[in-house]
Parts: sequence; structure tokens; C-alpha cells
Amino acid sequence: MSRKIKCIAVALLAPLVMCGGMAGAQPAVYMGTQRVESRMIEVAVPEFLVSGEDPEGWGAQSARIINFDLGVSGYFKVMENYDFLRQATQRDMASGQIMFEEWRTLASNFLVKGVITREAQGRLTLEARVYDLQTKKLFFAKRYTGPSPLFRRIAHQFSDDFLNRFTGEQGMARTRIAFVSRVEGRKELFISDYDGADARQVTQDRSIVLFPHINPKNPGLLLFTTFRYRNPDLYALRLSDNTRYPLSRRVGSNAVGEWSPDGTKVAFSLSREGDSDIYTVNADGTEPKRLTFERSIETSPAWSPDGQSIAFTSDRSGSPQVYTMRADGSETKRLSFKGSWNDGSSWSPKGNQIAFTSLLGAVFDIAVVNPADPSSLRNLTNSVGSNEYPSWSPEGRHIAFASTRAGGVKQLFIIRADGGGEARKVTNLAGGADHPSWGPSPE
Amino acid sequence: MNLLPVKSSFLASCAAIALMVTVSACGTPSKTGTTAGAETGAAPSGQPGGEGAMSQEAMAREKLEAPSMEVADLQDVNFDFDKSDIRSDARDILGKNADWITAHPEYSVQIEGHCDERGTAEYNLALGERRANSVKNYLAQMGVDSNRLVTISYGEELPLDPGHDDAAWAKNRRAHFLVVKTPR
Repeated sequence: MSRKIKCIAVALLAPLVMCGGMAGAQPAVYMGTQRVESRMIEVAVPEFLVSGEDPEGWGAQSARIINFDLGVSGYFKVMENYDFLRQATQRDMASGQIMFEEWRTLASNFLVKGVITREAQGRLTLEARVYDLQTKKLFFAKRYTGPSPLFRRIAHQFSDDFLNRFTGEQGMARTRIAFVSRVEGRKELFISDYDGADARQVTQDRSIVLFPHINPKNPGLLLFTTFRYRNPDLYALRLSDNTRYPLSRRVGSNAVGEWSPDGTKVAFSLSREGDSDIYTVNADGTEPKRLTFERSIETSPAWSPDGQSIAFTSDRSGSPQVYTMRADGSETKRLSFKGSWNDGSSWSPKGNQIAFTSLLGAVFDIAVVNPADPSSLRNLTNSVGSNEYPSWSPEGRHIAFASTRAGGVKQLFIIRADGGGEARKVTNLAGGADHPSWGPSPE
Repeated sequence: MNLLPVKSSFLASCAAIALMVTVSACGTPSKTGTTAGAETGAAPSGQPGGEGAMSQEAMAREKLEAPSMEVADLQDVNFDFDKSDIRSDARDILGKNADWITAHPEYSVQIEGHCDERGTAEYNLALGERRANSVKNYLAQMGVDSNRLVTISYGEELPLDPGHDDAAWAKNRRAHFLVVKTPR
């Protein structure tokens, strides 16, 4: 654990050095922002070559990391028969050239080749080249160097760069997800890469920790609720030194906090005499403001990306339903009219969708609705297992959620927000994973 | 999935404290406690609440953080799904609980509100709060000094029965009682 922290510190002091693209005067964006729905771009990413010894298995891992990133993005169809990919690589090596026609039997659009070199002082260089299998030309190439322990991050960075070069969109390969998981019967706060790798336990409260939320402007700062001090209190925690400060620890439930998009405020639910309402405080816990005044339960606030509105849950109609209001508490509107239980809103970064946990049938599903059109409500998941607690990816094209769909305890999955593709399981922890909060890249 | 360790594991580190409390309490409680004692690390001081509410808030906080224990005479009461109304079968129990509390002024009482696993954790935390307060208000109506009562919601986090059926859920929708020695 101490080694990991040291590595992160090193990363902060010496960010990855990137040498410029070698592809020269290619157009900045290959396909524009149009989503290719009818035809996925096919890409082959064989295992990277590693010069010298490869005790960490970088060669195999790099291909798997990049294939996951590209496949989950929704833009690419990846080729994951590593036997075929290995055979094609061997044919290239035997012939001393890239056998484009052979590769095109595996993927029709792109081939990614990479070489990883171990450098002095615990560093590595990763050089990746992307070939267009149609034109048989180099499409994009980039070289990265960084500390060896950041190997996964370097591979993810290539995925983001390739995706950005191809689509013009921001990638999500270096984002992270905070969540809670059981440890010895208690619940603790964890954080991992968005693909579930490098999960580490953040709190040692030996109590119940719930509802983490990553600050969107400062992803090293997390909100959460802890019962450590014998009351559900709202705290903020700095990952860099694992120090925390209280945001609200009034007697009653201080819970389900969410940072405002500019990171300067926190909306949360606070109960007084059994009556839960939405409040905001500044990021240092000062200036508490009450936004709702009904006698019903109001909880689960979610900021709109412009910070002007807040979605929340209220049972004023008799069952928990999703509402929106202005961030000053005015202009309340009901948004969900289907289902007996709707809660846990997360507002998309583009502003045009709100995702929440919805009970239409026998189990919970993730639903989305356009806040301007309540009739647009639709399910994203299809009642396989219980699906709860959606959180949007920072780039706004994906949603993380907790589900029992794989059997056993809840684990985290990510799904495309447009409903396309399959849900991908990203955690596989003995203590399960719940309450995801998807935050931006820490650099 | 066994969820009891959340409580019993607190116990491990706090059993000694609970035992001492029991002894010093002249043997009145008939059963030693199960839940947490106060954390050994001091809780950071809170920021101001509403004006004038601070001292009451601090007192309530003190009651929550004090080492607590169970008393066999204080029985759980159960609730209907997504409801916090006091059921008719709970009135008898709460009447007896009120008598015990009135007869034992040396104790303050923590009322824990709990939910079954169905529904969202966010809403259930608020629902547990509502249940605990519903019980608190009922006891106050029966003449119990409400300053001796503090509430805490555990939402769906501490089910009594780890099962996933109606019988387990019915048990888990409950208010549970713990007592703490009233601070002088």
C-alpha cells in the first residue's frame, strides 16, 4: 500500500512525458462526432511486444486493457481471439513486414501495434502505432514514457488518445470510480480505475460508509457518509493524505451528498425530527441552506451540469418519485410518473438526461429521462438482477451502476447511456461493490 | 451473507466497556449490550447547527456517542413496508417500553430505525429516520421525557435477519432500543 502511494506521488511530481505524434499531417479528427451506429469500426489489438524480460506480463496486459477501453467506448468492435492475433503477429515477424491482407481477415479497419521498453530507474516506454487497414498507412502513432507502476495508466492514455484522434471525443480510460465494499462485515470506501483495476480501500472506519461522491473539479476529494462517530455524518476526504473534515454532522442523517459541478457546494439530505430535506452547504461546510420544506421525505439530490437545478427524490405523492427544482429550491416539477419507486438520480454531464433507479416491474432497473420531457422515461437495463445507483461517466456516454445480475452480491457494471452494447462487469470483489461515483481522471 | 458481524464486531472491541457499564449500572439491565461503544478516537467537533439548538444538539450527540447496551425489557416494534405508522401490535410493546423508561431515569434511550433490504439505500436511510421518530413521538405522548430519547437511522444497513423473504423483511422493518447511562 505504501508503495502505491509513493507511486502516485511520483506521478504527480513527474507527469507522463509524451513525445509528439509521429503521424505527421493527419487530419485532427478522423470521423467527427457522429456516432457510427450501423457499423462498428473494427480494430485488432494484438499483445504488445516487450523488449527483454516481461515478468509483469505487460505484453498481454496492454492488449487486454486497450481492447477493453476501445470495446466499451461504443465506437469500436474489438477482436479478442488472442490465438489468432498471435498467429498474425508471428506471420508479420516471419515476413519482416505488416501483412495487411492477413490482418484484414481479423479486423477490417485498424491494427494497433505496440512495443514496450523497460528503461532505467523503474521507467518504461510504450510506443503504439495505429495502421489503417484500408489504406495500409500509418494513421496515428505516439510514444509514452512514465514510471513502470503506472503501466496501466499509460496504456489507458493511449486508448484515450486514439479514441480522441478518431472521434474528437474525450475518452474515459483514465477515469476512476469510488464505491463502497464490505470488509469484515463493515462497509468501507474504495476507489479504483474505471475498469475496476487497482481497487484500493480508502477508509478504515470499521463502521458503515455509504454514498461516496468524487469532486468533479478536484477528483482527489471525496464526499461520503460514515457512521464512525455513531451518527450518519457527511465528511470530505482528501485522497493524497487520507485526511478528512466534516461537512455536516448534525444529529440525524447527513447523507447522499453530491458536489456541485463547480466543486464549490454540496447538496445533501439532512433529517430533522424524522423529516428528511435537501440542504446545501459550501465546500467547507459553512452556510447551510434548506431547499425543501415539505413534511415528506426529500433525499438523493443531483446537480444539473450548469449548477442551476437539482433533481431529487420525494415521497410527497405517496411513493418515492423523481422531481427537479431550481438550485434555490423554487420551481419544483415532478419528473417520474411511472413505477412505484424512483430514487437515486444522477444528472448527465450534457444535461439532457437524468438517470435513476426505477421500480417498474418486480426488480429495480436503471431508467433515463429527458428532464424537459417526462414522457421520454425508458429503462436502460432489462430486469436482469436488481440494478441500482446510476452514476454518469465524466464524458457523458456511459453509466456505472450496482447490480446483482451476475448472481451473489452486488458488483459494479458499466453500460452505454444510449442503451447499445452489453453491460460490462468491472468489479469482482468478495465484499461486493455498491454506490458507485464516477469521477474524472486525477490528472 | 451474514450481516450481524457489523454489530458483533463492534462488540469485540467494546465488550469490556459494555461490561463495565453494566456492572456500574447496579445490575439493572438484564442483558449486556451488543452495539458500539464510543470510538476511541475523539470525533472532530461539529460546525454550528441552527442558533440556540447547539446545546440540545450537543447533548443528543453525547447520548449517541456514549457506550450503549441492550435491555431485554425494551422490545423491538415492527412496521409495514414503506410505512412508519405505529401498528396496533406495537402499541402494547411501546406502552411497556415507556413504563420501563419512566422507571429508569438514570438511562437515556437510543431508538434505532431500520428498514428491509427492498428499495434504495438512500430513501431507506430517510425512512428509518422517520420510523425512529415515529416511535420517539409516540413515547413522548405516553409521557416519556423526549430529552431522554435520541434517534438514529441505520436504513437497510443492519438487517436482523439476513434472509431475502417476507419473514426476514418483516423482522428487519423495526425500531430497536438501546440505553446509555444519562450523562450527569
